[in-house]
Amino acid sequence: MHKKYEITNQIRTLRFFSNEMSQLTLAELTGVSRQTINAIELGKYTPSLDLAYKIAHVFQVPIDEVFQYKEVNDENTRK
Amino acid sequence: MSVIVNKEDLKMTYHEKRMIVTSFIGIAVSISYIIFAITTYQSGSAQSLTLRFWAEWILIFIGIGVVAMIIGTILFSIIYPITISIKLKLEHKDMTDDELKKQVESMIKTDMVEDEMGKLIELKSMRIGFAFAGVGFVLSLISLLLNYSPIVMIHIIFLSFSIGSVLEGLASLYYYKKGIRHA
Repeated sequence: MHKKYEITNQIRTLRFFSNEMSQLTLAELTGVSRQTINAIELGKYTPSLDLAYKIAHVFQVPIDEVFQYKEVNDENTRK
Repeated sequence: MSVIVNKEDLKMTYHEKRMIVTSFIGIAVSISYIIFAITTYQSGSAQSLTLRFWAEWILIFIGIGVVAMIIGTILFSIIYPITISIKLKLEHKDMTDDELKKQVESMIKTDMVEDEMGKLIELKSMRIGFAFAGVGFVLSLISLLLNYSPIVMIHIIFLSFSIGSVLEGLASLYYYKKGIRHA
């Protein structure tokens, strides 16, 4: 049986530790719309590798500190 | 410039609002055409039995749709910054006019960016619109095979393209709201 994975991110936390950086500032620094940053943060959209690196570059952290590839826990969804 | 406002609280964004405006115009034009077509048929004029008559009116309605879309876009571009300014001013009463102006300009500039998510949404919703238009085209051909008048055929084609375009807008709105996946 195939395991299910999802991509999670720490953008909200990283923004908080970057002087509560706003989504608008992050959007300006990465060249995308604020809506896209909001969608990524809420897990509604998975960014391209290019954009993922740009976001990591803004926070000056490795990409895997921003995005994580996690196995989905099926037990929670079955309940 | 320091960004004062955390805008997660501005719930509906530029693209969503723009999609609502364009979809609304599309729906209004389609409904107007349907009402026009029904009333013309019911009046039973001899003109309404010719293809030329309907071709003329369909072209007129396409023109009306284009003009309405241009006017709607211009009005939206004027009203959108005003609503943002009012909202910001109400939320941050201590903000000076210069700060407000810079903030609004910055927000609009960032909101209007056509980025990778916007392009993906556009592609996926366009596919839905074209699929609907394609089904309509096939139905119009079937209507000819079933010995319906060519007038019925051009109505089906026009309406399927109009409704397809409206569906495209609604699909975009849905994707902007619910999110979108690459696969």
